[in-house]
Amino acid sequence: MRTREFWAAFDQYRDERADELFEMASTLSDVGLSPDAAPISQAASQCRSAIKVAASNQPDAGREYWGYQIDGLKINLEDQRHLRPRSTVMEGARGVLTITVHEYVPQNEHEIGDSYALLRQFNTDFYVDAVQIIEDREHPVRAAWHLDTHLYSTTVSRSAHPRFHFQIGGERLDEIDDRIRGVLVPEAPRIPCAPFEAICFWQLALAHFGGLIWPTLGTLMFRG
Amino acid sequence: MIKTYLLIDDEADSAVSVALHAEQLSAASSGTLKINVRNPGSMQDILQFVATSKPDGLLLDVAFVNSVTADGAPIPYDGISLAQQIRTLQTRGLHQQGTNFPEFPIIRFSQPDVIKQYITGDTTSEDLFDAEIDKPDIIANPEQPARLAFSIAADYPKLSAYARKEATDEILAQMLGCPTDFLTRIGARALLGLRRDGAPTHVLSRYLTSTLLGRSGPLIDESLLAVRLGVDRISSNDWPALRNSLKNAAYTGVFGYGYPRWWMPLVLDWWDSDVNSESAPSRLDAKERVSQISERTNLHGLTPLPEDPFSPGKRFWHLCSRSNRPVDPAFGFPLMPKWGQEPWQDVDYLCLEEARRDRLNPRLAGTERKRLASMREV
Repeated sequence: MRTREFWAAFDQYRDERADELFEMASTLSDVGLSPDAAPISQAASQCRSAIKVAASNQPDAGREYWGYQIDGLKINLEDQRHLRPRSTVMEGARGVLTITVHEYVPQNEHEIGDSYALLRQFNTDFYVDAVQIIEDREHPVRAAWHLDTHLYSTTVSRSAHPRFHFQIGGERLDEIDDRIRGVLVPEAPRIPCAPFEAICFWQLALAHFGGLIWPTLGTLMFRG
Repeated sequence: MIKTYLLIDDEADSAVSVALHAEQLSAASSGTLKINVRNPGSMQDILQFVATSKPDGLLLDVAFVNSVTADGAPIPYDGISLAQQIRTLQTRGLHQQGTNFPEFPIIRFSQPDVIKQYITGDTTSEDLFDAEIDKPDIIANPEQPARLAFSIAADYPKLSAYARKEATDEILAQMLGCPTDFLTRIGARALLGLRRDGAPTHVLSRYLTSTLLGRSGPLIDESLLAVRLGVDRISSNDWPALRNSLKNAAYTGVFGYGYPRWWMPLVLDWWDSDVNSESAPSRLDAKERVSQISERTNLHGLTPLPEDPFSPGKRFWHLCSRSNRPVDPAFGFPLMPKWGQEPWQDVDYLCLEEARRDRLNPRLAGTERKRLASMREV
């Protein structure tokens, strides 16, 4: 039953998510890790936007959900180790992070905050652009991976398609497709994984690619 | 409603141009602004005059080099000193009985070459003024400065009343012209400047005009609104109609008449509800945005922003802070924040062409310089 108390508690839950994102944007700006943290501030401002309803051609048609998107958050990266191809130059490389989070609106007060059960969709991708130098010529190279939600999980797939999965490659390789040589990136495997939310995913990306900035930020942001 | 400004200018008695400025500003306001002109004279005299005439606002020249006292001696102060003295008296008036000096806005009103000579590089006087109008703007395009001057004077009493109250969420939201629960969507940090206990009106006013309305962030101006919708507004006949369809996203708070702005979160809400696209606008290129807007709103006189070799990309989201060209963040060059720039305000961008012209800009981070160096000439 969605009482007035339910809506107050639900609004507070969304406000807390917004506050976390605003705080994350400020921290990123303060430490200079991102040249432009506005995509996070914009996501924060979406947390209390109007509730949406799943369309008739979507799973759980008619069910209400809310969410936010972080679009194209740039992150300055430190040098990476053990790269392939070995001629890759990571100096000045930049990672770009995009996240979409949708959660269904809970039915009652007790369900508020049960993000795993209510998660409708968590789509994210992270790509890193660098250059490879061959005979003094620069060639752009890109690493791309994503965590996705298979929203249409009742349909038949040609390969295993876990509802929440990790995958290398994806649409972010489209831009460099005609330049890819020597590496094959098949659709499979999609590795099943636990669903995330934005800050956890950002933490994951930074923990793996952020280098020495990571311990400092861990102290600043993830004390709790 | 008519608002009366006092224009204090050292050439008030001798030059035609001052009277012309006053007339043009008044004419452009459709009669809502009355401008009285006065020579500064001695500091004591002008302060006495201001206190008794109680104008709704001051337009204040910076240089008083052509003014003399009653004895014929050059006056030993300038517009900045006068502004400082007025602010001190206004603030004392709030806290001390018997020193009741009226609160009103002060707009810096000067020639760019005077500003260059007196102020450029020195930010210490900026907070004295509610806003700035360059004199040549009155000649070129007097409507916008007239709107700005009227709006600030008309809304100043509202802001003064707000300054004397406890800044509850309800009162703050009313001042900003938005529902109370919308405040959570702006971010607490952005509102701190309006929650200062005991701040005089001009401090709050300055925060509004320079920080919240003066730079893009939660609020954006019309040119950036068009960029984020992918529309080339100059060549789009239906731009006024599209802008009108976004009226629920318009800023209607204090000074809103002088500073036409739109709340970015409400623009995105409009996109969700009226365009109903599967994708956020930032994920679409300008053509796709305009195509989806046209389809949903039935406005077909909209032209997408064209591609531009000087500012490559298609997913335009910012304006180059130097050339005003639309910038796709994937191809643009973010600048490090200026001193005093807030983390919730939008970052400045340079388009490729301007970044190439200004490779040594100290606000270009090392990573951006390397990226710039790696991009081939067009």
